[in-house]
Amino acid sequence: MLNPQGNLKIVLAGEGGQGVQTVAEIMAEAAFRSGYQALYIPSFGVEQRGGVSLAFVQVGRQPIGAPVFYTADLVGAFSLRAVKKIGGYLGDETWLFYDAHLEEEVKELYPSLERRVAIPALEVAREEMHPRVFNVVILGALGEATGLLPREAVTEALERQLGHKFAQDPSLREMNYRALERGQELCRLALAGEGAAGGQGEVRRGPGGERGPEKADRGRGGLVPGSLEPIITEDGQGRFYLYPALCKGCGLCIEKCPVRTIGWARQLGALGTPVVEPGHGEPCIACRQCQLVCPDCAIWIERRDGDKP
Amino acid sequence: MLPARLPQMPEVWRLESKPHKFCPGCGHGIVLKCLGEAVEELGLVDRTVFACDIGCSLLAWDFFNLDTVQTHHGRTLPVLAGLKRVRPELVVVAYMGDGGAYAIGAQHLVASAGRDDPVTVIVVNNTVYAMTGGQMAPTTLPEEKTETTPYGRRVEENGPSLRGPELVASIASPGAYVARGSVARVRQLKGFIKKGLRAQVEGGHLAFIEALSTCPTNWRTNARETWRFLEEKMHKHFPLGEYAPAQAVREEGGGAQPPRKS
Ligand SMILES: Cc1ncc(C[n+]2csc(CCOP(=O)(O)OP(=O)(O)O)c2C)c(N)n1
Ligand code: SF4
Ligand code: SF4
Ligand code: SF4
Ligand SMILES: [Mg+2]
Repeated sequence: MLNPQGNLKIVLAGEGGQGVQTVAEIMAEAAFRSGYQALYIPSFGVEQRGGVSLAFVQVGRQPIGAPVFYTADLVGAFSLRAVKKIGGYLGDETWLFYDAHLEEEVKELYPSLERRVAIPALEVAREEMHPRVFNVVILGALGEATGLLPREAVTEALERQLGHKFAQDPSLREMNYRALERGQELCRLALAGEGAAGGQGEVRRGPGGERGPEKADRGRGGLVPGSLEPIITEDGQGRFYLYPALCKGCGLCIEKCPVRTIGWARQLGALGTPVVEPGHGEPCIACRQCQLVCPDCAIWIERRDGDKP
Repeated sequence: MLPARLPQMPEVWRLESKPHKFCPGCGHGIVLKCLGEAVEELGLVDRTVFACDIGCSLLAWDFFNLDTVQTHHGRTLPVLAGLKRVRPELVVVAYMGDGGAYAIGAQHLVASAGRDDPVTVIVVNNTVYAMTGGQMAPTTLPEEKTETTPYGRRVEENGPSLRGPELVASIASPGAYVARGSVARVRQLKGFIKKGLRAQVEGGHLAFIEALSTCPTNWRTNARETWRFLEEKMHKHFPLGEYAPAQAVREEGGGAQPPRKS
């Protein structure tokens, strides 16, 4: 189906407990058992607040030089935070698989991405089996999407990963196999047209293939539209642009303003703390001190008379 | 695209990783803004490699649209010195904390300064081991309260506060660039960083810039107290400016001469 020339680079992202790491490990295992080069590495990030984890998988015929990469051929994202987080791994040729309940958000976040594939994994798992096999539905779908992983190899890897649980409760095996099959079906259906936002008729190009030099990955792809809207306030000689998505409410700018026009606003910013606004002191003289010291680039001062400061 | 609506952020800042991971009011963001603008204004974006240490500097591992490495604590400088030897066309920037540079990595700083490794080193001095909860660092000011000096640093016990640029200048070779800036003097700091990049690119020399920075989280200060500690206490103890390398260490033909017995 997806038929790569080079190695296939896959990123999976989900909330802790969704089981994306298990899916990634099983995919790498299945690939290895089928004679491919395969590498899987989890990434739990460093941010204390986030519960999203990423899994990097590479599969193919070429030796694998490094465990992580910039642009993926195939991305799977299964929660809202995950969908937001994977922006940086999307290139023009990337296939994005996501749970169907995220349709609106994916469309809004990545409107120009052609290769979007919605898989109703959550719904199918919940309605037909058990919510817990959600990730096995995903495994079926992604395994199918790679076009590289024979079903027996996936089943075998699934057994290695979950066999001890199946031994305790044989009905689980049946349910997991069923989930795997349903995932494969859902993928085929989606790629046949329904659910795929683009890419019909060109499925052969698929992930993998030749990549440009690494530099091509350095662009600003993944910018979330709408999230960087400024609040614009005119005050004295200045037009004060404040980006709530960036402002952490540290107050450094307040203390540096020579006319003390900056104060706290009602609007909340990046960390749920108040952002700042002018209009609390003497009129702004457009000196740009506040812009200079903001550690987060959350302020931009434009002179109202259009002159350069 | 509406350029007027995008934040005025250096292009080389990686937008997907913003807002960045540093705490509110952390000076790291200001230093990295200066660095980003400096790299852009000198046209070095395509060949700069950024390397961060262990400590809060590591929170910048995905900060830039630049190739980035993160090393073991204090080892950023030797990693880049090695990289520069095999890929001399690259511009390498070692970014670390005062603990990384002056405590666990002091040996490498001394060795690199002695060898005049063509690396641009930026040390963010916030007077504490910030990432681990604000313990005393070599740079902690006399009487400064930290997690491990709850009654203030006692010079009799712990020695005086280490001054990095002065140390480096005393062993650096002619041509090396050494300076100390502050996040309270943004334009000056950016100027120092630009000169430091040029010393590596044009002169093939070591450049060492210490940036006095803020850590409101571990200092437990509000915005006003944060600026006050930086500008009143730190600026006083750590003078801002450029430091000429001690020229005497290298004579013609290279290499310091052992002192003669008289
Ligand atoms: C080899 C080693 N020793 C000790 C540590 C623990 N450690 C982590 S960060 C840190 C201090 C960092 O302080 P500094 O370099 O000043 O950076 P800051 O966090 O203040 O920016 C220490 C000691 C470690 N990670 N590795
Ligand atoms: S300095 Fe920047 S982040 Fe801090 S309060 Fe001002 S605008 Fe917000
Ligand atoms: S530009 Fe100057 S006067 Fe205007 S708000 Fe900023 S610091 Fe105050
Ligand atoms: S602990 Fe201090 S140095 Fe570290 S990110 Fe927070 S404010 Fe910055
Ligand atoms: Mg420190």
